[in-house]
Formats: sequence, structure tokens, C-alpha cells
Amino acid sequence: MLRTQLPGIRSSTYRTFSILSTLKQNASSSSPAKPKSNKQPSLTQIDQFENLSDAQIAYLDRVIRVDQAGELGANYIYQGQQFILSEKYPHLRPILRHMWLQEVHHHNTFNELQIRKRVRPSLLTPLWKVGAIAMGAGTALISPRAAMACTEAVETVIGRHYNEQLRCLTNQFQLAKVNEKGETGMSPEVKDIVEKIRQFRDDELEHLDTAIENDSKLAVPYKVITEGVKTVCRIAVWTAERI
Amino acid sequence: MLPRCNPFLGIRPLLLKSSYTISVSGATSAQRWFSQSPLISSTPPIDQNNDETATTTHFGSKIVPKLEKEKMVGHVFSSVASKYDLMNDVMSLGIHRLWKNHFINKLDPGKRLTSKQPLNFIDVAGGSGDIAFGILDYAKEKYHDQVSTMDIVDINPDMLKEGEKRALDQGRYYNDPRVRFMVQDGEKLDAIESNSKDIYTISFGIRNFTDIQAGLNTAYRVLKPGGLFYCLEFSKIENDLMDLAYQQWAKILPVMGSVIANDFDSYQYLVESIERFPNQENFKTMIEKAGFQSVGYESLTFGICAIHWGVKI
Amino acid sequence: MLLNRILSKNVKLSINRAFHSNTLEYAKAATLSPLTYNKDSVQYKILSNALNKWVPKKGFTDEAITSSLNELDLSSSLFSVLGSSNSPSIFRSISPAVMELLKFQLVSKRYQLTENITPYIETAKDKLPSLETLLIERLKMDQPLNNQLSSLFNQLIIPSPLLFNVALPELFNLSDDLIYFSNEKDHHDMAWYAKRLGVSCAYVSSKLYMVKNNGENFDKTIDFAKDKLHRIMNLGEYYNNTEEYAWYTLMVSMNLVKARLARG
Repeated sequence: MLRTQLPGIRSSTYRTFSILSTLKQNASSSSPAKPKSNKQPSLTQIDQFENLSDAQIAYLDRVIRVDQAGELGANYIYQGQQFILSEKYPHLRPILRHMWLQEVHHHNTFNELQIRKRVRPSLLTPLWKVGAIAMGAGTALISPRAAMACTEAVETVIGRHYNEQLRCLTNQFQLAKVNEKGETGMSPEVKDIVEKIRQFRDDELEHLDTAIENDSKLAVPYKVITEGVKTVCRIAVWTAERI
Repeated sequence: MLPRCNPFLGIRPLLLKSSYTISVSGATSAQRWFSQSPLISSTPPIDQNNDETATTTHFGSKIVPKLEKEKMVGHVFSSVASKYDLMNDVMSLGIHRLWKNHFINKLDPGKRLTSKQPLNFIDVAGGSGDIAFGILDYAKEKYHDQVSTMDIVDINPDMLKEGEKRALDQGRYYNDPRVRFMVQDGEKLDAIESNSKDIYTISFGIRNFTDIQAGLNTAYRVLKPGGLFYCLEFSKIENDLMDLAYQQWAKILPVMGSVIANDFDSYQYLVESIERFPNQENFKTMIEKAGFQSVGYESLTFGICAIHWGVKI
Repeated sequence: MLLNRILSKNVKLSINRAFHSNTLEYAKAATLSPLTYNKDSVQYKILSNALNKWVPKKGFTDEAITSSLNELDLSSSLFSVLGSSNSPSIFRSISPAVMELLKFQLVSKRYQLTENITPYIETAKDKLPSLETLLIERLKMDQPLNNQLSSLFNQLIIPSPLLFNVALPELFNLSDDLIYFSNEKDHHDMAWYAKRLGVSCAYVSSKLYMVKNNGENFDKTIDFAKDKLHRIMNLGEYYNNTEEYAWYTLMVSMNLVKARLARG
């Protein structure tokens, strides 16, 4: 958990900031299909770009904050589900565990980005934690199918949300290069964020399929659960972007 | 209404190094000193290039040839010159006095007592003299500055006459060697030397330029390095509710104009020219494009108007 | 546009300390935000000269700027240039140019403090200074201003646009920088805010202590700052322990309930 470090006292957890880590391929990431640009640009050959505009910076700020909060939520939803379901339904355990671990990875990635890019976290973090656990555990208490329906709804909203971000990032972040004439492109850090989001989007859609395979459509008040969860998610996204 | 600006518009235009060339005018013969020849000929001040007549521009919401716009704007201001103050009061409900006051206080102009050089001001499109006299008064009252000079420039002789009349009435700045009244096209300022001015002010004028960018480039030309461009102009209202209220107001304005000043068209033009004018961010980009640095703006009264500035380095 | 619609209203509010881009990937920033000029500009020269040479003698006044202008042989039109981004306020008598000088004092010193620290490249943790070191270093920077500190403080705390648009955001920026550029751990949740608030409090109270002592006996100020920082960090520790304990209790009781349910 959180631990403030007293000045002067060494603690084992130090932040590591690294420009290199943005440029390096993330070896640990479990990406099945790595999107383009496989060459590693070294520090010396980085093209410099024109500065991001205020609006672009504000947008990136918002993307990282809302995604961090979203992944935190997803992480806790799965934790809540697992908490309820893993003992009663052992056959779901590996599935849930697999999805949960992926969410943990997503969450860690955005946590790192948030600190490295100095974005403020969402002020309502405690609320997201409690709300997400309650949502995961609550739907799981109804039935495993209801839990799957919840997953389906959450992942639908998140997938769409990521898609919107991807569209905006690819369309609006073509910056002019400093040294070359008229050439435009995406700066490495933005490209890095785009790749991460793209991969996470694929993961989330995979979870969506998993949920459907596990009979989410057969959940009893299917409409109520999915629509309810979707609405809650949308409100949460809207709030986390701002606060 | 204009669509809201795209925040990304600013990126690319900035890169395209503006392609204008600075023309150093030595045309002193073209100088018209108002104070020396009180009878001003009302001929158009500068002859136009032929190809310019082919291009079109906006007159309010109508699209007209560029040359036409100058004439039409000229007509508007000639016809409202004598009732200029009244018109401004009607347009802004009297708030324009506060804005202008704030404009001058914020500018904080004047040669400081221990400072050596006097300042050279130029007030463009300032025929009525509001800003110009205000600046000189401020400098005198606050810093006992009685040496700085002021050029009051307007393309419209009738407006300029109005300002001179006011100077005469108030007994200051008429036949004052520090103050020159000149009929000049603000887009060219042929009679003003390059790198000669410390502070360039323009209030509620740049909107009426045929080519706003050319006007900005000229401002850059006449300013000394370290000089300041300072502009007060109607802008984009940032508050939706206020915007709605303004839209309604804009509909009645021409009618009011026809009642008060018996001049529907001029007021119609003013309303439309305000709508046409770029919003804060876009105008800021234009100022940057002219070469100014440390560019910024301050919205006044919900953005009904805005003060823009830029520094020539 | 989509982005524009989303952002048109909130850009100004959220732009403060938003996303920090990787400086190596972009052209050098044109300005030392939130100042509207960079180190090579004439404004920077005038103000830094005024701040270093004239403010200790004449305080944060028009005179300090005039003296600097005269020394650099520049005309007083630069007053208008300097003050252009500020507005006169009815609550205070100082000119926009002096407001800029106050702003410059805050911003330029903040940049100076972390100029030579590069946290981006894998820096060995030992090479990063501690939060305490940075805080004290920042306090030391104001030592030459001894006699002017109280007037500086008075100007900054009058409720006005200067307080809300400059002084408070700069205080936050400073504590954010202190944490980011030191070996201090950073957080993903409420602790992020709490820590910045704590560091701000420590900084302001140390500064007040410095003002009260009129800058004499700077060692005392250092001791005070150290003590204050430790106390605040301890408080954070207590808070964390409480939160951890609460979470632990929650988990235990939920397990208890679950066990009950499983048993039927």
C-alpha cells in the first residue's frame, strides 16, 4: 500500500524515470500482435517535433487520468468478482484470474505513465475503488452469469472509449517535424501511448468475448444489469476526466 | 455565428514562415499632415493594385470585392463619424468607456521620470482620439510625461476631423507638436518609418481592415525592437448564456441604429463585422504569424471584447 | 471538432501542471511557462537584473525596474511590455510591471532550482537530492531579499487575481517540482494531493518563519523547515497507516462474512 517516505530514510521503492523506457519495447507486455514501428529509435536519432499545443496537452492529461481511473476500476471489479466467485465456481477461476492479471498490468502501466508524465490522478480515487469492488462483488452475488454480463457491459463502454481516444490521438496529434520540411508525424511519446491504448483496447475486447462465451447473455435481468452498468461506467468516465 | 475555433489550427500556420516582405516606405511625399492642412480631400488615400480588385473579401455577411469593402467601410464611418460616441454607447451599453479605461491602465504607458528617452506612440484607426488622448493624459498625470509623441492615424478623414475637433474643444493636443493627425491606411502606414514606434495601439479598428494580416504585418514593421502591439477589439463571447443574450441584442441593434441615428445599414455592418472577426485564439495565432512574441490576450466582460498584445523582439 | 468541443471550456483551468511532455522529443519550448518569454528575451534580462541587483535595495517597486532599464539603456516603453500579461487591480497599488516582477521572482527561481536535475534519464537514486535538501535550497535562494521578504509576502497574499492566478498555482508548481525532482516517492491516489499540500504547508510556514526573523540567523530557519517537513511527513505516515489498517479490517470482515455464507 501507500507509504510516504521520510526524507533521509531509504525505502525500497524509488520511482524510476526513464526516457529510454518509453522508447524501448516493453518486453514484459503480453501483446499478441505488436503494431507497426518495430525499430528502436536511439536517443541520437530522435526527430524533434514542434511543441504540443495547450489543447493537446490538456487532452493527453485527460486521457491518462481517465484511463488510469478506468483501469483501477476494472482491476477492482475483477477483484470483487473473484472474491465472490472463485470458491463456488472453480471452473471460472482461471478465466477470471487471467482477465484480472491483464487489468493489473494495464493499471500498472497507466500508474507509471501518470507519474512519469506528471499528471494528477483523479481526485475521486477512493470512490472508484469502493464503487468498483461493490459493482464486481454485487453482480457476482446475483449469479456468475450476471457477473459476466457486468463484464460485458464494462468492456463495451471501455472499448468504445478507447476507440474514441485512438481516433482523436491519431487524427489530432500529427506534429510537424522541426528539421525536415513539411514532414509530419507523431512524437515517440504519443506513439507510445497510442500503442499502449491500442493493445489494451484489444485486451478489453477479448474480455468482452470471454464474457459472452461464458453465457453473459443468459444472465437473468440481462437488460437491467448491462444498461445499469453501462450508465454507471459512462458517468464515471465523464467524472474522472474532469475531477 | 462563426464555428468555435479548432485549437489545432494554430499548429501549422505557425510553421509556415509568413511570406510577406517588409516594404520600407520612403514616401514622405505621401504624408498628409492633418494639422497642417485642415481641409482634407476625401479621395481614397492609396491607389490600389489592379489585381487586388479581383479578390474579394467580406463586408459584413456579404462577399464583396476588396476595393469595394474599403469604400463601404469608409461610407459607414463617414456617416457615423459625428455620432461616433453615441454609436459606441448604444453598441456596448456604455461599457466601452470602462474597457478603454482598463486598456490604458493595463498598458500603463508613459516615460518614467528617471528614464531617458521619450516614447513614440502610434494610435491606428484612432480618429476619434479616445485612446490617444487617454494615453497622453495618463502619461502626464501619472508620470509627468510631457515629451512623448503620438501619431493619430485613421483612413477616414471624417473620423479624423472628429478627433481634431475634440482636441480643439478640450484645448489640449490641438496644434501640439507632439501630436500628429494623419490620414493613413492602417494596412500600409506608408508615412510611418519602419522601426520607429514604441507602442502601437488600435482599438475597435482592426476589425474593419480589409486584410487583417497585412495590418498586423505593418504593425510589426513600424514598431521598434522591444515595441509593443496592443489591440482592443470585439471578440468571441466565452459564456454561452451571455452569447445567447448578445445574439438577441445583435438583432435589435440595427433597428436601434435606424431609430437613433437613422442609419440601419451601418449598424447592420457593425454587428456583422463583429461576428466575422476571428475569436481570441485565432486572432492570437494571426498576431504570432506576423512575427510577434510573448503574445497573449485578456477577455473582458465574458469575452465581448478582448485585449490582445504582442512584443516585437 | 470533437476535441475542441470537449476542451473549449476547460483548457485554461486544467492546463496548469497538466501532462508534461518529454522535452527531448520536442523543439525547445518557446517560453518558461507560465511566463510568456524565455531566458534569451529582453524581458528576462530586465527582470533578472532588477531582481538580483535592484530589488534588495529598492524592493519590489517601479524604481527597481526603472533602474534596471536605465542600466541596460532601454526605454520605459518596456514597462508596458513587461506588464502586458497582468492587469491592474483595484485592491493593490502596484503596477502590472511590478506584478510581473513578483511573478518572475516565483517562476524563475523555481526553474533555477531544478535546472540541473534530470530525472528523465535513469538516474541513480542516490544522485537525486532529498526533498529536504531541495526545500532548503529554495529557501536559501531568497536569502538576499531579506528586507524585502515581508513586502513580497504581503503583496502575494492579498486576495486578487495575482493570488489565484499566479501565487497559489506557483506554490503548487513548486511543491510538485520539489517532489518530482527529489528522491521522494510519488503516488497514484489521494496521497498525491496530500503530499503536495503538505510540502506547500511546510514551505509557506518556513517562509513565514524566515520573514518573522527578518532573515537573520538563517540556520534557525533551516532547523525550523526540517522540523516542519518531518512533522508533516509523519502525519502522512499516520494517515497511511490508518488507511492500511481500515482496508485490512474491511478485508478481514468480508472474509468472515463470506465464510459464514459458505457454511450456510
